[in-house]
This record gives sequence, C-alpha cells and structure tokens, in this order.
Amino acid sequence: MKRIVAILVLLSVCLPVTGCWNSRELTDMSIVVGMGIDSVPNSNDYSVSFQIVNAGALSAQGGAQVGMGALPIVTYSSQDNSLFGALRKASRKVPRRLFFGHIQLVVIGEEAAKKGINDLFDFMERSHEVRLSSTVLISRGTTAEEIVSIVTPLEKTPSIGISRKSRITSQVWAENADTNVKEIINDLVGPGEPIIGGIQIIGDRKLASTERNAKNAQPPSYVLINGISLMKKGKLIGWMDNHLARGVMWTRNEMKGTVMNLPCEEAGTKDVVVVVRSITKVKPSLQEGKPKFLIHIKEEGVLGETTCSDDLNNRDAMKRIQDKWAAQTKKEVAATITAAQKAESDVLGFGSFLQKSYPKQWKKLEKNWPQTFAESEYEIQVETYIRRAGMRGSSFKKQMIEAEE
Amino acid sequence: MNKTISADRISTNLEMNLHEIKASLGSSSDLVFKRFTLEGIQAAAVYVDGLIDRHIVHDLLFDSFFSLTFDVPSKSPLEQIKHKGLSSINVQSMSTINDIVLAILSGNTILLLQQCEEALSYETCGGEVRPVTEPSSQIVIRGPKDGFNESISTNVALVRRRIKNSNLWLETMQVGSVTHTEVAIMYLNGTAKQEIIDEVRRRLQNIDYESILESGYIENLIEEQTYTPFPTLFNTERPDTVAAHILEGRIAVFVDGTPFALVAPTTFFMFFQSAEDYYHRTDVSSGIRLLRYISLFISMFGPSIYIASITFHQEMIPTPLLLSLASQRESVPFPALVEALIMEVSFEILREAGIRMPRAIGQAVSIVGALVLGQAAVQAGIVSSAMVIVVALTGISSFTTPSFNAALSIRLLRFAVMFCSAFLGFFGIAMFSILMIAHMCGLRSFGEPYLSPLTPLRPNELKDTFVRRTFKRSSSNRRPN
Repeated sequence: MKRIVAILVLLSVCLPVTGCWNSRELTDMSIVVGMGIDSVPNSNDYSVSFQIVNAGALSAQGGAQVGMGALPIVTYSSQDNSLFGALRKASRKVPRRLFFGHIQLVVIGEEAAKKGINDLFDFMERSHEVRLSSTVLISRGTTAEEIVSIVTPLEKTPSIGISRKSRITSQVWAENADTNVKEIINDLVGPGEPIIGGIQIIGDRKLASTERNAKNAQPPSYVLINGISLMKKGKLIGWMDNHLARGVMWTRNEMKGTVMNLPCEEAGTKDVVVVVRSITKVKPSLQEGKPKFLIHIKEEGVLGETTCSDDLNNRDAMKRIQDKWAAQTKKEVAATITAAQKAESDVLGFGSFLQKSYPKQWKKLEKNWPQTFAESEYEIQVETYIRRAGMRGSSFKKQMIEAEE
Repeated sequence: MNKTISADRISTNLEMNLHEIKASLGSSSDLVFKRFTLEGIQAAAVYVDGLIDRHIVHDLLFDSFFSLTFDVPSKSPLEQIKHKGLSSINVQSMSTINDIVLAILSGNTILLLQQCEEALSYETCGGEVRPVTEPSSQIVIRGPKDGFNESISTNVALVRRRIKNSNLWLETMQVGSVTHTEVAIMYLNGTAKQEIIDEVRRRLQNIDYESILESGYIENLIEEQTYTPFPTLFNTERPDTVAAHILEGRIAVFVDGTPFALVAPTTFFMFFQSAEDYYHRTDVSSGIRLLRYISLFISMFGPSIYIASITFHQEMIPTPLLLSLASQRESVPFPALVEALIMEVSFEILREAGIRMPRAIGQAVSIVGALVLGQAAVQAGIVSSAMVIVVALTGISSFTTPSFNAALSIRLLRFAVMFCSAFLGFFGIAMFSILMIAHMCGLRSFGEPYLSPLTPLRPNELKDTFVRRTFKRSSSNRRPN
C-alpha cells in the first residue's frame, strides 16, 4: 500500500511538467494551412484570412460522400483590431476549431506590408500552435486574401504548393527569397532589413478561387513567386526584381543555384552556366570611421548549354567562359548593392557583419546606419570554376562548321 | 491421502492381497489380473491395461516367468525371481498395498506369490505416446526439428542426448496429492548455482496442490509473484533450447504429461531469443534479434502512439500525412480510441478464433476476417484505413516474439497503454512505461533480477542480449594460444 501511494505521488509530480496538451479529435478541428494578413483601409484593423483544408474532399476513398466534388480548400476571413482577436472571431464562421499547428504559408498583403510588418510577428512567436518555419511572402498587386483563396492544379492544398514553389525556385533560379517567420524575426531584431519573397497572381483573378482554375489544363490564373522585398524600418518601400533579387541572394550567401546566360562574341549566341555551389564571404573593415565591405564570392558551376562554337576541349575556352561568368556576377552584385544603397535599405545584412567584427564602433554607427550604409564603399571579388561541361565536349555546331569548311 | 488405499502390509494369502488391490482401485475394469503357477506356486501379475508396454509384459510373462526354475532352495522363490528374469527391467520389492497400488498406477507390473509377504514391481510403463514431432509453438527454419512429447522419460532423454556429460544430473519427485504427477529437475552440476537448485527443489516439494496437469500449474505454484502481467518462468518445447539454458547454468523442470518444460531462473530477454539465433551467422542473427525488439516496441506501443499523435500531438505529424489522416478520419464517427479498440478487439477475436476453431473452417474465418473486418469496415466508414494498417502492423509484430506467453502479456498490456495514451497522450505513454519498467525492475525469478543483464548492468552478458555474441570471442570457445 505504501508503495502504491509512493508511486502515485511520484506520478502526480510529473503532471505539472506536461507542457501544453489537449485531446482533440481530428474530426473536430479544421487544419489551417495558410494565413493571409491584410490591412483594412482607413482603420487599424487587420483582416485575417485562413486557408482551411477540406479534409473530406481530399479523401481518395471512404469519406467521399462528405465532400463529393467539393474544392479541397475553403477560405474564411475575419476582421479585428488584433491578429489573435481575428483568429477567435473566425469561430463565428468556421464550424470547427481552427488548428494552426500546420500553417505552411503566411501571406502579408502589400498594403499591410507598407504599413509595417513589425507588429505582425509577436503573435506567431508567442502562440504555441503556430510554427515558426512557415514560409512568409508578400502579395504584389493583390490582397493576401486573394492569394490564400486561389485554387491550384497539381497541388490540392495550395499553401503547401506555394511554399514548396517558393523553396524550389529560390534554390534553382534564385530570384526570390525563401524566408520563414523565424528568419524574418531575426532580421527585424538585427541591424539589417528582412528579405521577404513576393507573390502575385497572373491571369484572371476572378476565376482564381473557382474550380475552373484547378480543372483547366491551362489554368486561367496562377501564382508567381517573384522578387525580394525592399524594406526600410520594417516597412515595404519597393521591390528587387530579377537580377537585382539574384544579387541579394548572392550577397547574403543564400545562393543555392541559378542559371546565367553569358553572350559570346558572335551575336545571339551564348554560353549557359548552371551555378551549383556558391559561397559568399563578406568582410567588413573600417577606414577612418567609414565602413568598407569586401565581398568575396566563390562559385562552382556546370556548363549547361552553349550555342557558341568554341572548342571546349581547349582549356583557354573554358577559362574565357569563367571570366565572362565572374564579370557578369560582379556586375549583378554591384547593381544590387547600388540599388540597396540608393534606397538606404540594408537588405544585404551588411550591418550585422559590421556589428560582429567591430562591436564597439558599431554602437556609434548604429544610430545612423541606413545613411552610413548608403555611403559605405565596397569591393567585389569573384572566383568562378566550371567543373564539368555535361555529357559532351565541344558543341555539335563546331562539327557542322568544320564540315562546311 | 486417500483412505480407501490401505497402508497395510501385504499378507501371505494371495487371494486376499488381490482382493485388497482390486478393492482399493474400486474394481476398475482396466485392471488386469493374470493368474498362473510357477513351479507349483500360485502367482499373479497385476497391471493396468494401457499404462504398460504390452511387449514388455508379454516378454516378462512368457520368456521370464514361465521358464523359471527355482534351483537355489536356500533362497525364497521371490528372491530368486528378482535376480533372474529380464535383466533390463528395473525391479523393486514392495511390501505394502499402498506402494503396490501407486506402482500399478505408474504403469508397473506387480508380481505376487502365494505365501510371500513381498511383491515384485517391474517397470513396464509404456503404452501409447505421441511420437517426437516438430514443435508447433516454437518453430525454426534451421535447427533440430524434434520437440518434447507428453512422456517425461522421452523428454529427459532428448536433452540427455544433447549433453553427454556426467554432470548432467536429474532429480525426480512426485507432485500433486491426487494426480501424483512425476516432476523432474535437470541441471548441470557445478555450473548451476547450488542455492538456486535448492530453491527450485524446495519450492517443488512445498507444493500443496491436488492436481498438476501441465507445467503451467507448476509455473503458477512456484513463481515469486502472482500478480504480474509478465511471465517469470520460461517454457519451451524444444530440447535444444532447454539444453542451451542448462549449459548456461539454468535449471530445467520437466512435468510428466506435457511437452512444455520450464526453465528457471528466467529473465525478460530470454523470451525474445530464439534457438535459431545461434544457428545462423552472428550479423544476421543480431539483426533479426534487434528486429524482434523493434517488433516488441511496435506491438506494445503501436496503436497508442497512433492515438496519441492524432488526438494530442497533431503538430508532430508531417503536414501531408496529417491531411491524409484527416481525410480518412473524416467519415469515422468514433473517437480515435474507440476506433482503435474496435479494430484491436476484433483482431484479438480473430486470432483467438484462429487458435480454437477446427482446422477445416480456418479459411472461412480468414475470409470473414480479412474481407468483412478489413475492407468492409473501411468502406462503411466505421474505421479509417490508417487504423487498419496500424492494427495489422501491431498484430504481425506481436507474432515475431518467439515465446507465446510473453506475446500474450504484451497483448494484454497493449490495451492498458492505449487507454493511457487516449487519456494523456505521449505523457500517458511515458507514465505507463515508467510504471511498467519500475514493476519489471522489481520482479525476480528465483532471486535473479528480471531485467538482468540490463539492470543490474552486466556489460559482459549484454553482448548476448540485444545482439548475438560471436562464438569466437566467448571465453568457453576461445582457442588456447
């Protein structure tokens, strides 16, 4: 008896250390996979929209009777002064308890981003349910609600598809930033500005949230991941597009891979290099109180395509391509830095390098950092290496030319 | 003791003796009295038909007794018969009716002579015995295919054939005040610990129970703790397994009338080791042994982990999987625990039916089980297909345990964990595990800690617990250099 009591006492000691838990049946809750945050014009309210998975419609078997022919997602939105209030208010519209443990995508409306994103993330960090690994994007030219209500083919739950799209394109094309809540909060806290990818709807926006969008071989509308936000003090002031965005990725050492078209001497022909590895090191230095940054980029790549007729078996030809590639990289990165300096927005994270290397001097520079950043000097060094030329040596075009001769 | 059996000494009157024997056995009709004369002396042979080997009795009567001559006048006729006759049969003199009746019931043939105050008991036991066949409960692919049968002498001999050593000692005793079941303990003298031998012997002798019909009775009567879900005595019907355990210093207990021998002391990990582990290569056997422990984990915690993750810890499940589970569960009207219980109970019913039903209708049960319970229940939306997968995996995992009675314990505990997990999620599972492991640490089998060699930790023995030791490295097989 004594032993049983002892065991019960020991076990009850464990009870307060359980953390958060609650028994919830899957059928009693709605799984939220995407969240859109818009600002309501002329007020301080937020309009929050939730992309909820319609589990019955996803089913391949059994439960088909529940949602035959229904769309796999439903989007509800609600307005309130706070994000949490909007979430709870949504219960007036949604028949089940909302479950935020699986949010894949957070879309911030362009207008809301212009008002400032600083106030949006406290809720996400504080809540035990919301995960910090959700992808964050800013809608361009549309509201966030429109983005989270779009129906997409191929991917039954659009939020998962969009967040995957953002990740993959940032890895293979690198003209957008794939950042999550945690990374953005880290940037907001630090000296630099956060980088957030952009997302826009191309095509007929009225049809975007209808079934037709998922059933046509050529969807009337689709979402496009495009660009990197240019922020100033947490407020959206513009966008870095195309090569400028790629430059940001390079400078921030986020480059995983991209494709570079390098024109040859003969008009219209080009060598195409696929970047497979890239390491960027930023080395700050202070000269008479003025910061200078040395950006060193080391890239490796593969020749992916060529329409030139160079003799690729010749080492000099390869070297020429490497040089062209290095020059092109240097040009793009320089353009990006110039653009960022012009906007006085440290999206490149230079401030945090300086803070780490010169913590004492940083305290003085900190106050006036955007201006100091805009005036600081930089130097770019690029090393490039082509590792392979693919499955072929020189192009067959060279043989054609030789045959003609 | 039964009062109808007289403890009287036998008299000189043959007829009276026979009458008394007949009376004490209630004139049972299978009792056979063969009367004849030996050199002019009235004699009778008494035995129970069916308990004796007819060939031996035939030889005894015709070749031995009928060709006898009493050529040494100085000795009594009984003495002379005792030292002649069939030399290979064990002969004993008896002088009380009580002894004689017990001997008859053990399958002996009793020779009574007129004018003699003693009787001779010939060990002629035999009769129908199931042949030595492949064990049905512990099957191996590679390894000896003989299994114990219901005869204790066969079983003992099967082990003796494997260990030809003078230190292999056997002690026999009778247990059960009504059944007088023969029980034997076998051990390797010098290897087995003397105090454990004494303890086994003492506990067997202290059994005060009327009937012993199977070694399970003995197991229940000599184990330390009655109220535990875990078996604290190992049983097997494989002679090679018994031999291996005897060689490790354990003690085997044979019970007449059952092919299952007990092994003491027992540790938990013995139940998850198959004899075959030692017949294959080390790496293969170690892998399979690890697989068995994984199966043990699945068969115990499988449904509970599923219940806990879909009712408490949804954020732990990868999103696509959660969405797929949610869509499957959409049409299921029950909470996850009820759903799991429905499937688990029906699986247990199927399994029990599979064991008990006549072989001829086996197929019918599997069709009903697979089609009705599996497919139709999912289609009707009563259970989700994920649950069917979990239950099926759990069921199959529980079959990998080589020892049936350990698998039974796990089967039982599985339901307890399911309730814990439905009540408190992973925390409930953790609490249950803490309680269970604490309980297991407290268990003893003949003084041996149940979880040894894990706790108390014996690193040397651990080499042969979760993985199988290599033969080269074990000290007994190390080559001298």
